[in-house]
Amino acid sequence: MQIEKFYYDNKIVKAFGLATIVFGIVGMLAGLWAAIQIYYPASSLNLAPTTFGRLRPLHTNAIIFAFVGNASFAGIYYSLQRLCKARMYSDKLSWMHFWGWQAIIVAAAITLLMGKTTGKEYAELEWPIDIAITIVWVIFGINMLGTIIKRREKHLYVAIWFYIATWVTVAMLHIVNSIEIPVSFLKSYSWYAGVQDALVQWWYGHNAVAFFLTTPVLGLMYYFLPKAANRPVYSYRLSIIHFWALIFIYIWAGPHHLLYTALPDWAQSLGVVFSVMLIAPSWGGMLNGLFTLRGAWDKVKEDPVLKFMVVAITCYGMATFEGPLLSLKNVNAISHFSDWTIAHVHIGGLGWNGFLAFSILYYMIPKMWGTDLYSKKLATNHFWLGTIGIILYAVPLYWAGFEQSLMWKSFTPEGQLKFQFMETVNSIKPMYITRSIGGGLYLVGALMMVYNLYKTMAKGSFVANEAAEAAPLVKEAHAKKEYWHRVIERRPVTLLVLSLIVVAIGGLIEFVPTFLVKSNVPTIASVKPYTPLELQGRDIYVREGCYTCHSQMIRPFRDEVSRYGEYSKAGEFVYDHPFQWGSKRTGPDLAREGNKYPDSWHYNHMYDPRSMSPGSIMPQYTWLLDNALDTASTPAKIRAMRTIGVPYPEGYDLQANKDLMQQANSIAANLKKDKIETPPNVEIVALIAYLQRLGTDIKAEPEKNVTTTITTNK
Amino acid sequence: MFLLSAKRIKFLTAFITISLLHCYQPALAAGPPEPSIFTNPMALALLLVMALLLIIIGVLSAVLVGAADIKIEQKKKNGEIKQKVLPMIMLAVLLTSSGILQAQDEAPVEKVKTVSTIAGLQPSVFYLMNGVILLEFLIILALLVNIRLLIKKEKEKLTGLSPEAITELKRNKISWWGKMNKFKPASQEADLVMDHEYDGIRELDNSLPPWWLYGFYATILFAIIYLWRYHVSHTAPSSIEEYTASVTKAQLETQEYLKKKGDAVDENTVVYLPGADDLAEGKSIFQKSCASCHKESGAGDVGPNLTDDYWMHGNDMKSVFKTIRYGINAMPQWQNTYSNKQIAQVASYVKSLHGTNPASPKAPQGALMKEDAPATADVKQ
Repeated sequence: MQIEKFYYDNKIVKAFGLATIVFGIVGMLAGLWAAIQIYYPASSLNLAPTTFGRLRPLHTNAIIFAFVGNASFAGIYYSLQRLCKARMYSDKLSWMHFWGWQAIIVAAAITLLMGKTTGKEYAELEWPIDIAITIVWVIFGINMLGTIIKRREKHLYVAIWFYIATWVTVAMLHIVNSIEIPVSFLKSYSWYAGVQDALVQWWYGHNAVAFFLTTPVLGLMYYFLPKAANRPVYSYRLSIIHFWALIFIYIWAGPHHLLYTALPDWAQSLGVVFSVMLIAPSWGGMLNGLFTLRGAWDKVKEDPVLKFMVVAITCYGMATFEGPLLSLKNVNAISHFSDWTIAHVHIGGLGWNGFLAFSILYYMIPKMWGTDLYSKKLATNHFWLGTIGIILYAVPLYWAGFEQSLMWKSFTPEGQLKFQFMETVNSIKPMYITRSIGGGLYLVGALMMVYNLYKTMAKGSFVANEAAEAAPLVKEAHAKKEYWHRVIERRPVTLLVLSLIVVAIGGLIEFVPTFLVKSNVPTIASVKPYTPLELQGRDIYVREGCYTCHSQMIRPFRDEVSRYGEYSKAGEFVYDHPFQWGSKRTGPDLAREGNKYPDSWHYNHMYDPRSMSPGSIMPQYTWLLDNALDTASTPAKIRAMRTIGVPYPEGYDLQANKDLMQQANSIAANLKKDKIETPPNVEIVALIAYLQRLGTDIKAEPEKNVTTTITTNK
Repeated sequence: MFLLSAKRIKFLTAFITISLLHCYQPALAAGPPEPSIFTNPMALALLLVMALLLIIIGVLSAVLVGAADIKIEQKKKNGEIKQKVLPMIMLAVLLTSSGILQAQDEAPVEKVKTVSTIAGLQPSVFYLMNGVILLEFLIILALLVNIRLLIKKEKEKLTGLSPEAITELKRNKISWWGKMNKFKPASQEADLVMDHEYDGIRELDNSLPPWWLYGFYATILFAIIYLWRYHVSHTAPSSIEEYTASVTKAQLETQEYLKKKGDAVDENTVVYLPGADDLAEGKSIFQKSCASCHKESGAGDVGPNLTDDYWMHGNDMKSVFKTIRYGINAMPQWQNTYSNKQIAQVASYVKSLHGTNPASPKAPQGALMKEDAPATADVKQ
C-alpha cells in the first residue's frame, strides 16, 4: 500500500496557544481586580467600566471563552490532526476560526466594559456578537468534521467523540439561549421572560460548564494524559459508558441552579435527580484518567506535566462530587446565593480547567519547538504555587459561604432575625481578603509559566509543518463482525447525529411543558408591565450588572420572608425580559426593594453607599447622577417589548416618553422635598423608578396579611 | 513528597507545636473567664486526650527523625542528597496562612456567644478541641506512614531478593483497592491491550470498576425513589409545604418562649421606658439602624427630623412604636430585625430626643403636635 506523506499544521496550534496565555493572564487579572473590589470598593476607581458589575462578566467571559476556549482549540487542533493522521481540512478555515474567535473576544471585552450586556450570565454578549459566535462556530465545525472525514485512521478515538459532542451541543445551547429581539445595534431583550428565561438560561449556563469547560477538556485529557504518561488508557468500555451517560444526563441538570425558586417543583426535582445521577458518569472520566497512570506514578513525581494533570483530574473529581451534593435541596438551601458556589466553581476553574490548560501548554510547546522545557524546576514551582493558590482561594470562601448563610438564617428566640445583612458581610471580609491572596498566588504561578514557556520557545526552533506519514484509508467491506460501538466509531456523522439526539432529549422534556402548560406559571392579575421610565431604569440595572451581586428571588424560607418580604411567585416575572434573579447575594435581595426606602435614600446610596449603609462594600455609582437619560430609545424599546408579547397598548411607543417625563418629574419633586436638587432626565431617576417598583405589584394587598400573620408575636 | 528529610521533620515538629499553640490559644481565650474551662469535665477529658496525642506525636517524630537521619547518612555516602528549598517555603506559607485563618476564626467565635452549649462548653470551643484532636490523629497517621515507608525499604533488603524480583512480586500483588476496582495485575497487562492504537495511544480492555458501576445503579435508584416520593406518593413536602411547616413550628416556639419570658409588650401596652439602661440600648440600636436616615442627632436627613414638634405619624409612644415596628411609606419595618422590647427602647430613645435642638435640623415635616398627642390621622407630606 502506498504510504502518504503529509504535514501537521503546528502554526495554528501555536496561535491558539499564545492566545490562551495572553487571555489567561488578562482573565485572571480581571478576576483578581474584581476580588479586591469586594473588600476595597474604591479600587473600582469610581469609573463605570472598571466597576465590579462590569468587570465580573469580563472575568467570567475571558476565562471561559478566551482562556479555556483558546486552550481547548489549541489542544483540539494539535490532537485532532494526530488522531486523524491528517492535516486540518482547510488552513483557511483554521485561520478564519482563529481570527474570528479573537475578534469576538476583543469585541466582548470592549462591549462588556461599555455596559453592553444582555444580563444573562455567561451569555452576556449582545446580538451582533452572538451571530458572529454562531458563524465562527460553524466554521470550526466544518473544519473539524472535514478533517475527520478525510482522516487516515479508520476509527475515531474517544477524544474525538468528546470534541464532536462539544461542537454539536454548544451550537444548540448558544442558539436557543441567545434568541433575543434587537432594539438597536448592541441592545436587545431576551425572547423569553421570567421563569422561562430562567430555565433556558440555566439550562445554558449549566451546560456551558458541561460542554465548554468539561467535555472538550475531557477530550484533551484522553489525548494528552496517555501521551505524557506513555501508558495505555485504562478502560475502553469505561470510555464508552461514561461518554454517553455524561452527555445524556448533563443536559437535564440545569434546574439545580433554580432550587426553591419560582420554577415549578417538578422541574426542580428533575434537576436534583439528574445531578445526583451525574456523579458516576463524571467520575468515570476521572477514574479512566487516574487509572491510566497505574504503573506510572513514579513519572508523576518527576514530570510537571503529569503533576498538573493529576491535580486537575482530582479537582474535576472533587467538583463533580460536590456539584451533585449542592444540588440536594437541603444543602442548596445553605449554599445557594453564598460564596460556597464561588468556591465550588473555582475548584473546577482553577483546578480542572486551569491546571489542565497549563499541562497541555507545558506538553505541546516543547514538542512543537523541538526542544525540552526550559526549566522543569520552575514548572514544578508553578505547580506548587498554583496548588497553594487554589487552597487559599477555596477554603476561605467555603468558610465564608457557610458562615454567612448560617448567619442569614439565624433567629433570636424572640423570633427576630439575629443579624442584619451588613453584619453578615462584615464577618466575612477577612475571608475575601485571603481569597484574593490565593488568587494572586495562582496568577504569579501563571506568570512563571509565561516566562518558562518564553524561554523554551527561545531555545528551540519552531516546526511550523511537522512531517508525518500514513497509509490512506481504503474502503473495505465490513464482513468481519465488529463490537457495536466500533461501528459508530467509524461513522462520524452518525456519531454527531446520535450525540445531538441524546443531548436534545433533556432540554425538550423540561422546556415544552414549562412553555406550554399554563399552570406552570400562574398569572397574577395585579402584575403589570413596567412604565417607560421603569423600563429605562431596568436597562440601567442590567447595564451596570447589578445582578452580579443582588438577587431578585426570595425563596420560601422563614428567614428570607422575614428579611425581604413575601416569597417570589412565578407570575411576578412575566414581563421580565431578561429575568434578573441573579445567582449571588453579595448584597441583599432586591425582589421587594420597592417602597422600602425613600427616593432620597436611593439617591444618596448610589452616590455613596456608605453614607446610607455604613460598612457597605457596594461601589459608588456617581455617573448615574450626571448621565442624561437616553429617552430617544424609548419608542424602540416599547415596540420591541410589544413584539415579544408585553401588553402595551397599540401606539403606546409614541406616547411613552410623555409618561416617562411625568413620572421622572414626580420623582425629582419628591427628591427636592429631601433637599436634593436634580434634573428629572438623569439616569438615577430612572433607576430609582425601577427600584421603587420592584416587587410592589403583589405587595399591594395580599402580601401584607401574610407577613403580619407570620411574624407578629403577641 | 512522602519521605521527609531530617531538616524537614524538625521543621514539621516546630510547625505542629506552633499550630497547636495557635489552636489552644483561642480555645483558652474564648472560654468565659468566671467558670474556668478547667473545671468542666468534658474540657478536661478533651485536653487530656490532646496532651496524650501530643506526647505520641513527639515520640513518633523522634523515631522518624532518627530513622531518617540514618537514611540520610546512607544517602550522603551515595551522594544522592539534593536540597529542596521550595517545599520548605511552601510549608512556611501554609504555616503563616493557617495563622491568618486562625486570626479570622476569632471574630465569629466571639460573635457566636449563644446560649446553647455542648457538654457545658461553647460549641466553638468544643468543635475546636475536637478539630485539634482530629488534626493530631492525622499527624500521627502521616508519621506512621513515613516510618513504615522507611522501614519497608530496609525489610526488602533483608529478604535477600534482588530488587527486580521485588518489583515483579509487587506487580503481581493485588491490594484491597485493586480488588474493589477489579484491577488486573500489571503482569497481565499485555493480554488486555486492544488491537487498535491512535497516534501511539493504546487502550486496555479493563472492566468497569464494580464500586463505580453499583454506585451508578444506586444513584439511578435514588432518582426513582426521589421522584416517586415528591411527585407520585407525595410523601415528601413541596417547597411551599416545607415553608409553611417551618414557619408554623417557629411561631409555636417563639410563642412558647415569649410566654415563659413574659415579654409581651406590643403597641397596645407599650409605655415610655425612662431607665438609663433602656435608653442606652435604644441609643445603640438607633445609631446602628436609624442614623443613616435620621442622622445620629435625630436632626433628619433622608428621614424626617425627630427632635422638633412636627410629626408625620403621631408622636405618642404607641404611635412611634407602631411606626418603627411596621414601617410606613418610606420608613422600613423593623419587626423582623428587633424584638418588641428593643423597639420600645428605640421608641423611648426617640422620644427622649425631643427638644434637643441639634445642629442643622431638617425642615419640619408633618403636623405640629403637642407632646403626647395621640395620632388622629396620618398627615401626608
